Amino acid sequence: MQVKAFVSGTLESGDVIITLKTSDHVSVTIQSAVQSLYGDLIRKTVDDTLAENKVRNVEVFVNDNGARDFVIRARLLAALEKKRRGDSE
Amino acid sequence: MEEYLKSLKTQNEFHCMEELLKRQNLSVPENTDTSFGIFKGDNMIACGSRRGDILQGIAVSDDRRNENLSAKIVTALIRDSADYGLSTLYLFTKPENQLIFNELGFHTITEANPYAAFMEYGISESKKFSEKLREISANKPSDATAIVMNANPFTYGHRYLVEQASNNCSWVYLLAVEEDASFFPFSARYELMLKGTQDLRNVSVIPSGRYVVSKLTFPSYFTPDSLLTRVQAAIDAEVFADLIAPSLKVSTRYLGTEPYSQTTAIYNEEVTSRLSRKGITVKVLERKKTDDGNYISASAVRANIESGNLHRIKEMVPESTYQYILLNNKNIKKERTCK
Repeated sequence: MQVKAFVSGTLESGDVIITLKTSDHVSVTIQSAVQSLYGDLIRKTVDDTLAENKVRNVEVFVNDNGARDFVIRARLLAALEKKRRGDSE
Repeated sequence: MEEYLKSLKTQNEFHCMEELLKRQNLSVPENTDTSFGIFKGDNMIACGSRRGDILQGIAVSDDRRNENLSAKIVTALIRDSADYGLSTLYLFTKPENQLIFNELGFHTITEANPYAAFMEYGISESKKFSEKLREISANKPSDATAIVMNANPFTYGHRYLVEQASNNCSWVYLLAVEEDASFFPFSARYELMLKGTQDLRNVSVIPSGRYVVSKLTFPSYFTPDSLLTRVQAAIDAEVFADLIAPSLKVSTRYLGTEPYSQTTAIYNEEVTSRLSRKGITVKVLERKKTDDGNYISASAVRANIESGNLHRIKEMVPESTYQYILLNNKNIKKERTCK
């Protein structure tokens, strides 16, 4: 089986771009222009969103460029939705 | 005038890209899978391409710097790559341009100054690779030795190199070049390395992954060209020093000589000077000869397979390699002619 990759977002300032792929566990990597100030908050947003949606099988790369909390959440949900559709193809 | 981003299709669009790259003194990537350009009217103001999982030829017109056009191009490339199942991307750039890509979320795997920086984007495969090596080396001694081997196929020459290392070192990691660009497929080369060293209790054979003498780090390995060879050797050495050696607790690397190959000579010279600078001892071993004074080489073995002189191979390879060749002789030759 080919491991598919799903992307949501852009590299524009104030946005975030998220890459995810199916895995046998959850792992999250955060890369952010504001890592030292908000790295923990971004991670919490991502972890919470994954938990709320009972996602247990993705590797996530979050490349943040100063996005607001709800933007990160929306981009992650969009990527998860793409994955859901991709997985059922 | 309207500005728009598009995937390049027509000859004219590719021509615009070539012109833009040439104005920036960048080489034009070949055999690309996908290219994007941003146009203002008929003028291209930014471009970028992908070949496999390597991004190439990302450029922005001089008069349009600091407008984040590279972010638009790279966004398009990342999104397009996902459609091809790619969650990790790589690129090589001039060391002084790293910051531009850093700001786009790339991280540097290694720098081979003054030639290039090797960078990664996305779900980090290089980090996973070094974690895997760390697991392998967890219960093994430090101050170990590494040998990178294509072994195409495994000969007494390879055996000699491994034996010398095995006798003199606490532990030996044999990194089997994983890329399938050789006469013998990886599965066979790996198996024959295992069989050919199984009596040596301090030797581990490990698949090299993508970061050892692969097209990724060393595209010219199979096509000699002196400067390209040096650049690729430089990157290969730095990746070894930064990514592989620390994970395997390796402090020494053994290199074999290749008496008839200028490429290998340049490669060894570059690797030796760079590893020494990073505190890794390099031992270069003279190639073993057969009893009648000829150097043992895998290429001689292959030549004898091609010409059907199997009896000449016997004194050059261990029994396990010899048996494999006898058993697979027909298939090996057939695959060869098909190519």
